[in-house]
Amino acid sequence: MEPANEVVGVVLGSRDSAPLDYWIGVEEGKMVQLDDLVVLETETPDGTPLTYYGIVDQVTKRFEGNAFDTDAFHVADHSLPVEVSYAAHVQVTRLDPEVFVPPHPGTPAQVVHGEAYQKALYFDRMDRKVPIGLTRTGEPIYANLEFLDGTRGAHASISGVSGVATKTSYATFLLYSLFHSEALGADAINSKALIFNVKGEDLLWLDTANSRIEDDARLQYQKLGLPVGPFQSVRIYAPAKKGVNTLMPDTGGRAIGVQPYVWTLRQFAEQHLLRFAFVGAEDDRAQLSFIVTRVEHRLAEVAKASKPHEPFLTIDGTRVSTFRELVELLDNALLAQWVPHAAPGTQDAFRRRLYHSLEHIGHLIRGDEAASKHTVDWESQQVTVIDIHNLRAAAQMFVVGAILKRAMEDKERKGTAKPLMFVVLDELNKYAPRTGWSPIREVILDIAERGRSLGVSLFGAQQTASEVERRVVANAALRVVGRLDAAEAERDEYRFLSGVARVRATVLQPGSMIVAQPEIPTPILLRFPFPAWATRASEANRGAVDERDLFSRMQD
Amino acid sequence: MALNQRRNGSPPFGVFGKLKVRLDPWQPEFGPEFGGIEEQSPESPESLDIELERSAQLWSGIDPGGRAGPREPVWFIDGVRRMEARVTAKFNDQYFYGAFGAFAVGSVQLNSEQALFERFLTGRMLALSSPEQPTGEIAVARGLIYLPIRVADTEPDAPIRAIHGEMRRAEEALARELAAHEGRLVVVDGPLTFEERMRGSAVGYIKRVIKTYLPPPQLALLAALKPGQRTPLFALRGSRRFARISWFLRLSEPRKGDSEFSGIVRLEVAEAVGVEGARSLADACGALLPELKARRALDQRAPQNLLPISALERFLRRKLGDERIIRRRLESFLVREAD
Repeated sequence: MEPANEVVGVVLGSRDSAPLDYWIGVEEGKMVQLDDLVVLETETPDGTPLTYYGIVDQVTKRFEGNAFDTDAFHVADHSLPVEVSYAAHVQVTRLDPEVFVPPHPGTPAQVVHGEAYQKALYFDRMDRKVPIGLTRTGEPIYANLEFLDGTRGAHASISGVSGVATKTSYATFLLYSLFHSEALGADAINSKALIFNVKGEDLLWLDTANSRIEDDARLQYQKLGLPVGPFQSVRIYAPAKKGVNTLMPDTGGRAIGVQPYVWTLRQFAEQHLLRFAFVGAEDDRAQLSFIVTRVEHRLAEVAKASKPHEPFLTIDGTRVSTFRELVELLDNALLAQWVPHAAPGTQDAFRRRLYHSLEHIGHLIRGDEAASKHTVDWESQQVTVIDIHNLRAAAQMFVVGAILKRAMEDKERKGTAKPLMFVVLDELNKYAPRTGWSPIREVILDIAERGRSLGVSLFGAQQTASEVERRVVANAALRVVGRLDAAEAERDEYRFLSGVARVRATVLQPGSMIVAQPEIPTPILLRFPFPAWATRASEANRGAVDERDLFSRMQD
Repeated sequence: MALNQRRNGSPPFGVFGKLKVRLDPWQPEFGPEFGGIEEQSPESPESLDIELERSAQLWSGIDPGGRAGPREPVWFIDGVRRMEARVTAKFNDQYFYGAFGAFAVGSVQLNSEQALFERFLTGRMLALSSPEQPTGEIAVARGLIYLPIRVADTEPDAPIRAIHGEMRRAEEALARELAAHEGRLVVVDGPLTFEERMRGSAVGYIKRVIKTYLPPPQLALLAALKPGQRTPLFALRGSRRFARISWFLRLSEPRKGDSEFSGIVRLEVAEAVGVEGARSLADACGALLPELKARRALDQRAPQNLLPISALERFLRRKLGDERIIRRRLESFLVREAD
């Protein structure tokens, strides 16, 4: 069972002891490791009890006294007796009460578990806490929901090297925890999640139980108070296949249970989506964006004028039912008519880009009847996965931009923060780069800055936080890193990590993350359990869903 | 406690009673440790028998009896002592010498698994040559308690010798205790101080060769010993100490410019052990000790100050506490007592 609290040593007097950090010497035969929680129970001179809670962020051993390097060889051949000092550095996380005096050398130090552990990390003060992982020793770690649902903060930023940092897995785990723990309470049912599947097909199996989950992972879920199973209410969208007339989802490993998605021409016009077809346009953007805005405006007018349920557009009596027709119409006469004063060079630039976008997104914007039934709908289920991994970069931009813009506009129209919406987006550095401008960057910045009050929380992931728009990263309440590149770890974006944590971030194994959150003054290394939902075809064994696990919590 | 009693209006006597104990202003030898005390009583006539193992004509260097393989456990015993404050005591208008001093004695065990500090004990005392003595322990500070010991001699250095003697007695007690186990080899730093046969064996390890004992022809052999070699056994018999069997062992080659006798140590066992017993101990020591020699660059007393012994000395000195702090404690204590 849970190990008991144990006195492992005393506060050292040979190194400075301070209110916020001190060293302890570890008794012979005892063990203290990184991330252990250490508690000192002492008194101030006037007799007030004073408790220091802290986390071990460094452990060292060395020969005591004036040892020579070569002593180690004599010790190894058993000719030299030595005394070994085993010391641990403790970063104080909490003082109760807040009396900032240094702990007295010689004060006994204990490594704690369970209740005292929870207290050391302020979990006792969190009214609504979301489990976000386990320590290496199996203690559950929580985040304060108030910093994720917009009450006091929102957004999570997850950084790490591709492949080993398990960023999207962690983002998905966070969502799972939010929806399946008791933190959200009654709000859980109506809360929504929009997940963009940027790479691979990992996220296309969220609705399927993982057949490879082992007993120790089950135990981890149990410790976190979470059920073991897939997401409960999921719809998966993949872009419509290019070059075929019937609407079919363009996926690899999974074809069943995936819906194709497109936009109707009418939606394209109505929602001002043309700008997202032009995301590569960084040069001479002032002039070009003028044309884009103007054309968008005229298209919106056209949409307004046509009948409400028509998926196509009717421009000056001409029925436009494919994106190609729209492009050609604009190219021929419409452009000169709608923006007569634009310089011919700029008009040409517009045309060039228009044809370019036709190539990439032409198949996603259609005017036929079938199209109106296959637009992305995130209202009727809890989790909506939008696959974009097969799309070219320009088309990915379009999809992400168009969907996020509509999501924000929906929320604005509703005017309330509830129900909450969580957005998971990987490769944020592509969508909201630090340098350069793109319409998507504006949308994401809008979510980062206003999402909190609108109830939209962005779980953004990126290889390098240093390449993401500063305000997007700065607004994230929960900062998470997986394995980091050593050079990246030294950048200012990771100053929230302590020196030791930065070094550790460079050697993190998949499944381990370092998480910093506003209320806890030190970043914590945690592990999250193996996904209970499938992440690839081989893990998706539909028949093997264990009903007991899925529904056990509902019966409680 | 003494201080509290005074404040409460108790009689104006401190722990020293009628003695007036004052710091001696002149403390030339105050330092980390006082200088070496002559181990050998200089002119004790001792008879020498060099034909114990082989005849004088056949004296030559003897290689250690090959005993490779796993190391048998061996114990080393050493002690350190220091004077912490020199004092004078006035009694009936007469002045006497005294010293606050401390010693620490400990052992190291080497075996095939590890080398470890095994035991240690410390002692603190006020050695006074005055006829009147403090009656109880002298608590200078918490954890800093001195026991009074009477010194018979009134020479200025008598208190120091007394402290040294206490240390030697503690070393001897520890050596007896350790050597009381069957088959143990205990190497005691310095000349052997006890003679009785024990279940184990105690060997005196004399690192500073002051007296060479041997007559000139055999002395030449001593200079020519190769590292690891020893001289044949010889017996030392005298009136002041018990009879011992002794031999010289070379730990290392002298460096250029060194005396020919550098790197040589002398070992001794009680003669009661017998020649055969002494020979097997000499073999054991010959196989072991050169392996443990100190490196010249790291230790001024190399090579004789063996690694476990110098480590033990450092360890014991640390156990005595910080001498500057203790000195200050003593000073303020004596000032309080002088009030």
